[in-house]
Amino acid sequence: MPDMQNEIYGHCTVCGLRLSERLTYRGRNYCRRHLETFSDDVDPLWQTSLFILGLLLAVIVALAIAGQFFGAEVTGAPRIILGVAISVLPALLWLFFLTRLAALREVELSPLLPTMFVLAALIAAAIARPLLFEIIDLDGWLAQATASSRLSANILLGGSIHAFLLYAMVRYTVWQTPSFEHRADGVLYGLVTSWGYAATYNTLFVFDYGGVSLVNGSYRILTQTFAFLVTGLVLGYFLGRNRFEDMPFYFMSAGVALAGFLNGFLFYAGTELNNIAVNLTSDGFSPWPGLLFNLAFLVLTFAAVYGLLRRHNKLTKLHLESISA
Amino acid sequence: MTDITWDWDEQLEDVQSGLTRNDRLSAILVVLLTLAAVALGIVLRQRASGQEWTYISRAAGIEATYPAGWLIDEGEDYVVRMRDPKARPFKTQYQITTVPAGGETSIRNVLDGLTIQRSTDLAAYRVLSVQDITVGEMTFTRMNFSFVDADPNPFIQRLPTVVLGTDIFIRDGDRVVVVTYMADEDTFDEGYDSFERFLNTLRY
Repeated sequence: MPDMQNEIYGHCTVCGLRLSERLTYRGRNYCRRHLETFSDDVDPLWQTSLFILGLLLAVIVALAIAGQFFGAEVTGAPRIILGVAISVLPALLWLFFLTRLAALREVELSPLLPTMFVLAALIAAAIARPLLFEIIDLDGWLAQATASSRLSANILLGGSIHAFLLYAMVRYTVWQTPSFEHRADGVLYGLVTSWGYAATYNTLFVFDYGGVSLVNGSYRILTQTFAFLVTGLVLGYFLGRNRFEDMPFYFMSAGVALAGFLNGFLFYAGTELNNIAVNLTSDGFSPWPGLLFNLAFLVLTFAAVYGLLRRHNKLTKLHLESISA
Repeated sequence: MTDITWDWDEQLEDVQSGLTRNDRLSAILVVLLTLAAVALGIVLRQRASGQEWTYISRAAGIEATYPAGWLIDEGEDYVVRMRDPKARPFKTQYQITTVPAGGETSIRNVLDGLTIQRSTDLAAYRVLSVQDITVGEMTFTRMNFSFVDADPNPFIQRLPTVVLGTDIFIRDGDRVVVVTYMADEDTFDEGYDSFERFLNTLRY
């Protein structure tokens, strides 16, 4: 039961300052300023994310048209440049527009965002890739596994490792610092690490294959990016709630498990759905089903996380107002 | 009074460290959960690596089990070819061919025909040995051979690979079933046991 008391001293969960009055919300102590502000929303986050989502939709359509015009095959250096651009540019644009919009709106964002972006990019290259592809040999297994084994492998190995690394990057760096001062900062950090992680992961994927084709390869990269963004959104929601409320001990592990499951499932669906039946006797390939499925899932997850966070923030403010009154 | 003091100390410590008991348990549980998921994944991977799939050709009347994940293709010159997609630089493969052998045609005729054909198709093709082997009450002919596999693209920067192979010739009424195993010289011995298992599962 939430309560506010003025009886004992403590330290603010956000800034760590010693409190002259003890104010608690769901098991965490706050100074007056942070008690009033931790449930504030970070509007530029949602607006920038929606803008980039729209931009990605435009890129998908543009690639499809370009594929019709120039043919699906790109050769030589443009193959690599195209792949790297599709991997990295959306992430950089998201970060750029987010900071510009925040500056215009005079919203103070964490100065650690670029650092977290780079950290995630380095962890994807230094830990995730070698662990998954050189030590565990996930690709080798996926190449010769049955459909059910591929689903298990994607969830148990790929998904759980990606989700844990993304969780650990936020949990053991900024989670306990004053830079994490709003509930929505969970999603902010979840997304910035996901973008950085996905950018490197996909860039290395491009180098592995010596570049990607205009339509199929680019869509594959976007499909993987959407899977990472869903993971970041889910982790961000759980990290954001747990930061400002003393949740049950299983809450965060449930969040990491859900994020890992969704990551693995979307990696699986993103490739598996592309094997389509052309007619009754033959199968074929289309890059669209996996891409559209993951995109739809991302939009739904985005809406769900946005709605839930707004609801929690609203309820918190109402609750605090009722106590003040 | 003592209980109240103890509660206060614990709460104060929690606040100063910023972590509650739930947070600490949660941090441990997340790590354990991830380790459990990865361990389970690796166990499944180990179990799956020994799996075999079954190939059946009703037209040729042939059935065999082969390592899971190998790629199958059926061609005009052979009944089936099974290739390991992970093998580098030469794809380890099994091939089953049937050759009509009615009347006076002997195994030796089939073997010689195959040698002449391969000597024109494959670079540096050499027959290393021909011998009869007996398994149970049945006698087969085995021919060991080698050739050099080079990428036809002259811009590919890799050395040609020496490939070793074994043919097993099985007479089956008016035809001879030729079962072939080919692998690069470094992995040939390593994969031979697997080929023998494949051979043991062959039904015709």
